[in-house]
Amino acid sequence: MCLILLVVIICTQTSCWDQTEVEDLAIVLGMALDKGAGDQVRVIVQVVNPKGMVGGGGGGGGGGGTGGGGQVAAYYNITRYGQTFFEAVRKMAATAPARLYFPHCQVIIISEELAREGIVEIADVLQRNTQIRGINWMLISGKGVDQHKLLAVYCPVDVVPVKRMLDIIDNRAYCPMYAVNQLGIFLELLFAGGVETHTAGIKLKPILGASKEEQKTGEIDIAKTALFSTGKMVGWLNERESRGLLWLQTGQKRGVISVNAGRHKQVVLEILQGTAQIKPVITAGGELVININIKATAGVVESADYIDLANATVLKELQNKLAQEIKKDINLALAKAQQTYNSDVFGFGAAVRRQYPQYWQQVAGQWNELYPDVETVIEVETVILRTELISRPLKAVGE
Amino acid sequence: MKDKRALQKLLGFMPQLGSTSVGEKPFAIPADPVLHVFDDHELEGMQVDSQLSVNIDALRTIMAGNGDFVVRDFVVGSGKEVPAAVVYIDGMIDITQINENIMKPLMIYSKTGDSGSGPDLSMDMLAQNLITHCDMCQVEDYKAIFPGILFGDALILLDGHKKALIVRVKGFEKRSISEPVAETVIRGPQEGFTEDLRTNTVLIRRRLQTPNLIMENMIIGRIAHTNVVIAYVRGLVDPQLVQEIKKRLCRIDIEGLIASGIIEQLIEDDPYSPFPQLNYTERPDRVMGNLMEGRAAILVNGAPTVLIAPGELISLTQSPEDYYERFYSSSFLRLIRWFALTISLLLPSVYIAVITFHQEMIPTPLLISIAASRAGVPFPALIEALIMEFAFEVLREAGVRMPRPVGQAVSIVGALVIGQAAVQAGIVSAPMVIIVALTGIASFVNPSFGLPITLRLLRFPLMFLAGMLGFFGITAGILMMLIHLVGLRSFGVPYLSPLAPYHQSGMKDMFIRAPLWALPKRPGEVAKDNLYRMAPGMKPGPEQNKLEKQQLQNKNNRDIKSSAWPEERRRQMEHADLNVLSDANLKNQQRQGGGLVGILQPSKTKKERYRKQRLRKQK
Repeated sequence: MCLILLVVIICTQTSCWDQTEVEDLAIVLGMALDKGAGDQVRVIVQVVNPKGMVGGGGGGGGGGGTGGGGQVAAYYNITRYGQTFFEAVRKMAATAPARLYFPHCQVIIISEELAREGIVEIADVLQRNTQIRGINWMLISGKGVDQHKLLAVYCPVDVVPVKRMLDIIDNRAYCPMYAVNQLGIFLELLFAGGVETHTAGIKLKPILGASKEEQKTGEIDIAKTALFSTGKMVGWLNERESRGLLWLQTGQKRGVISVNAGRHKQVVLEILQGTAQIKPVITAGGELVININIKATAGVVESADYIDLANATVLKELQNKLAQEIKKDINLALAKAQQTYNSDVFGFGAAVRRQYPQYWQQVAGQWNELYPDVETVIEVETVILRTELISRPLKAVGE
Repeated sequence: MKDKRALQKLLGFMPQLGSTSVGEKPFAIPADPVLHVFDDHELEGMQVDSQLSVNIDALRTIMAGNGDFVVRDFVVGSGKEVPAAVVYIDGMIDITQINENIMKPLMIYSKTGDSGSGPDLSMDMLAQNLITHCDMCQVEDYKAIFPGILFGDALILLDGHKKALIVRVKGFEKRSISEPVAETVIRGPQEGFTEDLRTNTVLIRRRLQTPNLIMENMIIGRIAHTNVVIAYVRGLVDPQLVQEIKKRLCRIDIEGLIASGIIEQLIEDDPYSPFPQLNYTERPDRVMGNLMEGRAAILVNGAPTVLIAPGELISLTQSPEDYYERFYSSSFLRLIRWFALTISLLLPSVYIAVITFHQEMIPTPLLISIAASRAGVPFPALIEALIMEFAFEVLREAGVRMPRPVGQAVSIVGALVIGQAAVQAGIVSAPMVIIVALTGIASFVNPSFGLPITLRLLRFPLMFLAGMLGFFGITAGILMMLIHLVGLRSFGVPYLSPLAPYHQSGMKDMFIRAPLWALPKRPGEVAKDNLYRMAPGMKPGPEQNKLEKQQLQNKNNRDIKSSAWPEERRRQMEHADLNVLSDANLKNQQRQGGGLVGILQPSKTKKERYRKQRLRKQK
C-alpha cells in the first residue's frame, strides 16, 4: 500500500517534467544571423503560426509579424541583438508569444559579412545545442541582401518564406547552380582535414511579370556557392563553376547542359547519371597528380539543329562535345578554387590522405601552399543513352 | 400453516403428520412443507415404498408448492388391476412421448390378453414388454429420482413394487442452433453453440467422429447441479492437462454455475493477471480445431460459450477462419490483427507522449497542423484523451446494453456530439478524435473478445505513464507488462509461447500463417509429445512432378522429414481405442486414480517414474 502511494506521489509530484503542449510552442522554421552594431550579433527567427497556416492563411503574414488586416498571419519574425547568438535568442523570450522551439528549424541563413569574419564561433553553438538539428540547410546571404526582406518575401503559394527556400532546395537537382549543404555535413567539412566546407548563397532578385505586391519584395534566388577556407568565407563560385563543383562532388542528375552542335544551334542534353572519381597519383618524379574521372550518361531533350541522332558518328561527336563542356565546367571551378581562393572544396587533401597516408602526413602542414599548384588530369566519359520520343529532329516539308 | 385444510389443499392429500415412513426410513411430513428445506441428507436412504400412495404422498410433500409438478395415476393390467402413476414436471417432458410410449401401452395393451398381464405383473415386465421407449432405467431410492424428474424424465411408479422406472422423455423448449453472434466468419460453418449442453456436445461430436473424443461429465454446484463436460481427444491431449483441469474443477464448491465465465474465474492460473488465461468461443469448429491441437474444452450447461484450455496469447489472436482462407490472405489478416492489437494498446499513449514531450519526432507539416487544431483546446493532451476515451467507452457500453430500437440514438449522439460538436466547441481536437476512434475500432478486430478488453483496460495506465513521463513511461509500462507476461502460464503452458520460450515452428503460425502443408507440427508447448499432425510431403502440385521431387527429396535427406510421421506411430493411433481396454491400461488407470490418462503414450517422466518404482521393488 505504502509502495503504491509512493509510486503515485513520485509520478504526480514531478508534475509532468518537461511536458509542453504543442500549441504552447513557437515552432521556429528558420533563422538568419548577421552582424549587428559593434561586436553584436543580430538574430532573426521565423516562427510559424499554425492557426494562420492551416486556416487558409493566404495573407502570408508580413514583415516583422504584421499580419494582413483581419487575417491571422501565417508566420512572424522576431529580431534581437545580443553579444552572442545564444544571448540574442534568449532575449527573444521577452517578446515571443510562446517558448521558441528549434528542432523544426530547417534553414539557417548567415550573412556574408559574418561568414567572412569566421563562422567557428557560430558553429560551436549550432553544434552544441540539443535543439538544433543537423538537417538545417545552410545558406549564405550575399552582400547587401537585407535578411529582414529575405525572411519576409511575399510567397503566395508557400506562404512562409522559409518553406519556399526549402522547396527550391528540394528541386536543386533540376537546376544545378549551387552546391548546398546541411548543417551536419557543413560542420563536418568545416572541421575535417584536407577538405573545405562550402554552401549555397541566397539573395533576392526582381521578379519577372509579377503583381505589384510581389514586385515590392522580389523573389528568393538561391544560386552560387560560397567557398570557405580555414573557417572563413573566402569567395563565391558562380553558377557555372558551381556546376563544376557538383560534378566533382557526387556526380549529378537531372541537370541540363546545352551543346553547340556544328551549325551554331543548340542541342540540349539532360544528365541522367553522373559519377565522379578523384584519384591522386604520385608520379615517378615524386609529383602529385590528381586524376579526375567522370562518367556521365545523358539524354537529348531538345534539339534546335537538324541532326540525325540515329547516326552513330553524329552521336559520338555530340558525346565528345558534352565531355568538353563538362571538362570546361570543372576546369573553371578548379581554377577559381585553386588559384583565386585557395580553398580545397573538392577534398583533394582528403583523397590524398586516404590514398597515401604517409605522404599526407608529410604535406599536411603545408597543404595550403601546395594545393593551388596541384596538377589535375580530367577524363570525362559520356554516353548519350536516349533521345526521348523522337530520334530525328522535326523538319518542315520543303525545308 | 396450522390449518390442516390449507395443508391438504397445498399437498393434494390429507397429511398424517409425523406418522408415515417411506421404505424403511421414517418420513415426517413437516408442518410447513413450503418452507421446509429438503437437503440431500434427508433424501439419503429413502427407498421407494411398496405402497404407491406412500410414494406419491412423499413426492408431493417434497415438491409441495410447485404448480408444475404433475402426478397422473391410473391402473394397469386386465385381471388384477394394479394402481400406477406417472410423475413428471410439466413442460420439461415431451407429452406425446408419454402418451404414445407409456400411457398407451400401460393402459391399453396391458389389458389385452397376450401382453402377459395378470398377477405376475412386475417392473421388469413393464420395462421389457410394455413401455416402448428406448431410454429408461430402474431406480430404487429417492436420491436418484429427483435429478431425473427435475431434468425432464418421467417416473413410473407401480403399486406393490419397491422399484420405480425412470423414462427419459426430455422435451423442453430450447433455442435452436443459430449463427454465432459475436464470432462471425465469412467462409466456414455458420453453426454456433446454444445454451443446451447436449446440443453443444453433439455439435462437437458430429465433427470429430472418433471413439477417442472423450466427453467426461461432471456435476458442479450444490444447489443448481450444473452439468459440466470436459472434452478432449485421447491420444492428442496431454494427460496431465486433463488431470489438472479436473482437479481444478473439483475444487469448485459453489451453489451453481450460471455461465462458463464463472468457471474461468475459478480455475485460472493467476487470478490477478489482467490477461485472460482461457479462451472461449461460440463456434464448434473452433473447438474442434483446438481439440485437435491437443487442448481441452469445458462445456457448461446453460452457457453458449465453451472454454478452451490452455489459452495462451497466440490462441487468443487466432480465428478459425485463418485456416479456411488461402495463406496469403490469412497472413495478411494476421498481420493486420497484430497491428490493430498494438494500436488498441499503444496509439493514444504514443500520441500523448509525442505531443507533449517529443514534438521533434513529428514531421513539421504534421506538427503544424496538430498545433493548429489544438490551438483552442483548454485541456492538456492527457486529459483530452481521457475525456474522449471515456466518451467512447460509454458509447460502446451503451451500444451493447441499449434496447435495439433505441440503438440508433446512440450512434447519432456518438457521431454528432462526440465526433463533431466536441471538436467545433473546441473541447477536444480533431486529431484526438481520430486517434480515439481508430483505437476503439482497432480493438474490435481481434476474433476473441477477452484479449481486446484487457488491452483496452491496460491502455489507460499506459496513457497516464505517457502523460507523465513520455516515451520513458510507455517503455516502462510495456516492460512491466512483458515481465508479467513471460512469467504467466495457462495450465502449464507459457503464455507467450511460441515467442518465449521460442519455437521456430510456432512462428510459422503466429504473425503470419504459413501454408497448411508447411504446418505439420502442433503448437509445441500444448501438444507435448504428439507434435505431428500430418504426413510429410503434403505440398500440392501436379502428381507427376511431385513423384519425382519426392524421390529426389528422399534420396537427399532421409532423416528429418521422413521420420516425422513414423509408421509405428500411425499404427498406434489406429489401435488406440483397443489399447484402452487392455489389462495393462486398466491397471494404469487405477494407479492414476481414475480417468483415462496416460494411455497412449506415457510421457517420458512417467516412464522414468515407473522404472524407479520397479527398481525400488527389486531392491
